[in-house]
Amino acid sequence: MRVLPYLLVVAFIFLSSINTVHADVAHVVVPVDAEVQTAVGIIISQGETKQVRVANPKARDEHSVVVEVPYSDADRRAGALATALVSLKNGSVALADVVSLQSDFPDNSFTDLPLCDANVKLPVLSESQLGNLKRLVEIRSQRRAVLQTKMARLLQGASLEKLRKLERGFGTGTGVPLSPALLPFELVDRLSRLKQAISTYETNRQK
Amino acid sequence: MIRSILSLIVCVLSLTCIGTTPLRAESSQAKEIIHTPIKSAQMPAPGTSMTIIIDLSQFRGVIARERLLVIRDGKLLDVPLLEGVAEGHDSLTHNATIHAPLVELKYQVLITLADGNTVSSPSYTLRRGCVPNIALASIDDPSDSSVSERLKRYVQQSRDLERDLTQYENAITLLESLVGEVKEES
Repeated sequence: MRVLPYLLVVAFIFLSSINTVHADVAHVVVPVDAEVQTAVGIIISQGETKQVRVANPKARDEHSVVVEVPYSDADRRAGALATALVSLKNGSVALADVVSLQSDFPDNSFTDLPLCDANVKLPVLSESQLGNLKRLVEIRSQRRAVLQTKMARLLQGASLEKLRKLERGFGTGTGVPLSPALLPFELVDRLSRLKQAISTYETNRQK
Repeated sequence: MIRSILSLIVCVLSLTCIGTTPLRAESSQAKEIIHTPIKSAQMPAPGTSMTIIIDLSQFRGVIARERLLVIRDGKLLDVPLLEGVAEGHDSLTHNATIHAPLVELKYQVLITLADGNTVSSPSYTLRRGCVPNIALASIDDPSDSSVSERLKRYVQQSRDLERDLTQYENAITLLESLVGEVKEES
């Protein structure tokens, strides 16, 4: 039963298009929350999608592995993208980030980008406005605490477990379990991807 | 387990459909998907809703399915395009609402025509020039600092808190919708 996801991948991706001439490998990071069972690389280009054989994924840290997806010069010239599907021993499936094979933005690395300047451009303010500004910070801080409490109330118990299970099922998790303690941007990112995956699944099921 | 398998099928079908359906540009030479992307610098703050509007007027009556393939910060999303309000008899706009990325957004419009052919737009890329701060706003009290320093700190804190509030509100809206769907299903 555990090999079924892998077999389905094989069935749905065209075996005949397995890549044989490889120029390089793309390092694709896959979030995992269990031991890896099998992995398969996928090259997506405008004309086709093909499966490529990959070596055993290497552990990157506690929550992720790296899959080396081989690609050809033709793939890179065609502007192809690489990703990987990993089936885990707990029965779930993890889908990696999509990485570009172009050399301009390799592996979606943002490490070459500087952090945005955090210094605010101060409007013209006088000392008399200090109290109002302090009060504004207090009100917004209290409002944030209210929203954090609401988030914690919604994201707990059976609902939390169900959403975590759905993340595992749709492969939208990142390795770090969903929890109200995540940064709000991470919550938006995770929840919106899960919602989109469910929506796509429902749409396809109805057709 | 069943859900895993079904989702996997959907995912793989989605990927293979994008990649293997022949693009028959010759059958739609005179027709094109019209879209003017915003500039990278105009991207809203991370996690904020943004709407992408696509003009499919030239394909009126021949569209079987339309969607937006999005790669947000390297993560794949398959977003349905919803029909917008017509501005005129010949106008047919579609839109998709997504949440702004931390750094990079790539997207491409894919439409399947009634005759089975697929037409795609060019791939659009928006990329910030720097990585925005997404850490929770600090609310430490700068009361022992100078007046100008306190003014600066309070302005910074209020802006960062406003960003946190927007992101929490968006996250809660998504969560309420998801929890509702989960309850309906069970």
